[in-house]
Amino acid sequence: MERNQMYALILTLAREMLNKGSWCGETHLQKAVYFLKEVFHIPIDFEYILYKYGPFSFELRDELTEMRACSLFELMVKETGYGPSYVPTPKGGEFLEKHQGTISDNLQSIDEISEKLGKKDVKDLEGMATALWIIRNDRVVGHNPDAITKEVTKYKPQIKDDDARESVKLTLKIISDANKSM
Amino acid sequence: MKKLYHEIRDPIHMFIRLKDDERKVLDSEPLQRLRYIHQLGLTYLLYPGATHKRFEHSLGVMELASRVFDVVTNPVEKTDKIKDVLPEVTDPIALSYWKQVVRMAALCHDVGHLPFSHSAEKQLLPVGWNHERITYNVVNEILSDIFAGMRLPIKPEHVAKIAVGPEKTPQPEKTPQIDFSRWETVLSEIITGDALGVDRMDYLLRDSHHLGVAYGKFDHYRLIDTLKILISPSDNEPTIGIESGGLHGAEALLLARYFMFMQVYYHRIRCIYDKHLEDFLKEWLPKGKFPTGFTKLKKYTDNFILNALTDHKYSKKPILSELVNRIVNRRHFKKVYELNPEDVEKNNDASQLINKALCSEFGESMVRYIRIPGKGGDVSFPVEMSDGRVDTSLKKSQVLGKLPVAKVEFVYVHPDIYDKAKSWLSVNREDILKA
Repeated sequence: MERNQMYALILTLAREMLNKGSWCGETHLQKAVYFLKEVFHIPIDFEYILYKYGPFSFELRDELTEMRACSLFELMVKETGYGPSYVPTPKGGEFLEKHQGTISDNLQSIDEISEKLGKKDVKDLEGMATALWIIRNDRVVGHNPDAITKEVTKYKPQIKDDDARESVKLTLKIISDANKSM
Repeated sequence: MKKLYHEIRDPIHMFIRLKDDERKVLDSEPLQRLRYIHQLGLTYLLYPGATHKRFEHSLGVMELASRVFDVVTNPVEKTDKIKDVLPEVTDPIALSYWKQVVRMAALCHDVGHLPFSHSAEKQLLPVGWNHERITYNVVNEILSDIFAGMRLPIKPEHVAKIAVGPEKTPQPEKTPQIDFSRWETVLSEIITGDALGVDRMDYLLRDSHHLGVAYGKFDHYRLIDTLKILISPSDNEPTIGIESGGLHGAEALLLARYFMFMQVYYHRIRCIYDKHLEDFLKEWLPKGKFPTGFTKLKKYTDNFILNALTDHKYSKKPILSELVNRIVNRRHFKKVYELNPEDVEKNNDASQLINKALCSEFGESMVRYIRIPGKGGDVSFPVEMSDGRVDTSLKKSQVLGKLPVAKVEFVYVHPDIYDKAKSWLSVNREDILKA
């Protein structure tokens, strides 16, 4: 995927998440892009590693910085809450106008993942993305929720059993819905 | 009588002290090789003072890492929450062990660097390799016996992880991932942290000192004194932050980083010399790549490359002598275009379009395009207020949220066609940008 197409997808993702009331911080974008890549097979070729808050791509972090340098994103710091939100700039909006083709091909997946992840908090996102990482990296055989939950709490001991179980359930639901729609 | 401690004079930190068993690491082949790797590559061709090497930078990083470790593990500063999530801070034996690990990780963090600290690792190393992966291997394989033989033996895998950090630690294909505990993550942040890491602190201070520029200076004494392990309110995880009293010091550091990037590290002539060296190395190295194993890599120092440049000045291969000529005789390509905000407004791909147009008009061999992606984006870290609340630096600082991202894109042409290309571009530039 060309850089501009990738930027168009990331900007659209941020726009859709913000429209759905998301905080849209870096963690939201990181995890949503991970789901788009791994569940919806959108060819965004970032390498993810299991990091402090679950799967994380330093390449994506660099691209978000680059997008700020190109004035496509600005950081908005709100009085309440903690980390900054990623907000498309007017130039980002114009940029999207020019890449309608790329966007329309992937809009349904972006819309779906924005709906399902947009309003989650960082802890939930960590649990869900870690569950997906465990599934995609074959750390368990099959999609057995108990086995995945056990692995999530093994890699992320700070996540409580019940929270991990809920994260696994939601993740498996996203995978199953995506499989049905594809 | 055998000396147990050694002092080394340093222009930035005055004296750097190390124990005799640490001295064995310093005297090892991987560390001594760094005496022959310029910290700033070929920058000395435009800033003559930039002749300092990775060796003294590594010592400086060890010194600062040691100071920061002492400050952030000071028991007086630790809250119950910190003690709860990082029990190591209350265990004197663990602290002694990990301080040794941090010092050695800081000392060894650059041992995998290519000659001239070359940044074109993607082009000059096999797929999947970078200098951090080489560092990780050198620490684990070449230096492991020295670490095991220290008075307080330390595990090389701990040193390697803390030196390289979670971002760059190479992950095995099949065996379980190399995971970082919270404690290890915090310790690696001391060295590699994007905003407040000591690697950055030392190179800004050291580079500005040697170059003779004032941009890189900031009050690192005050800044280090205010560093603290804080629980980040965004995710409840421990991380390196600062007390509010150090906020101006942190602002000065991050401004220094921005100025140094824009004035020195991304200087147009420095960038083109790097590119010319890359062109030469791709042509000269066996299969165009450096080896990745230290046994073979160790001979590749700057001196070795400089000898090769001299040898090939009158090479029978015209391409090699031409490439050498660009560096040795300062016949570097000249900048005809630099990306600027006005052109970005007109077209986001402005510099790439101009590069393509120049290539098609004058031929690819006469044009070079350099794009350095945005750096310095992360200026967010926790700040502890005087009433004990913790908030993000972006809310507490009027400066940090407005700090621009450092980024450059240049197009250069061969000096023989410089005037012609410049005239051609002035006539055609607007049409190119309309594409």
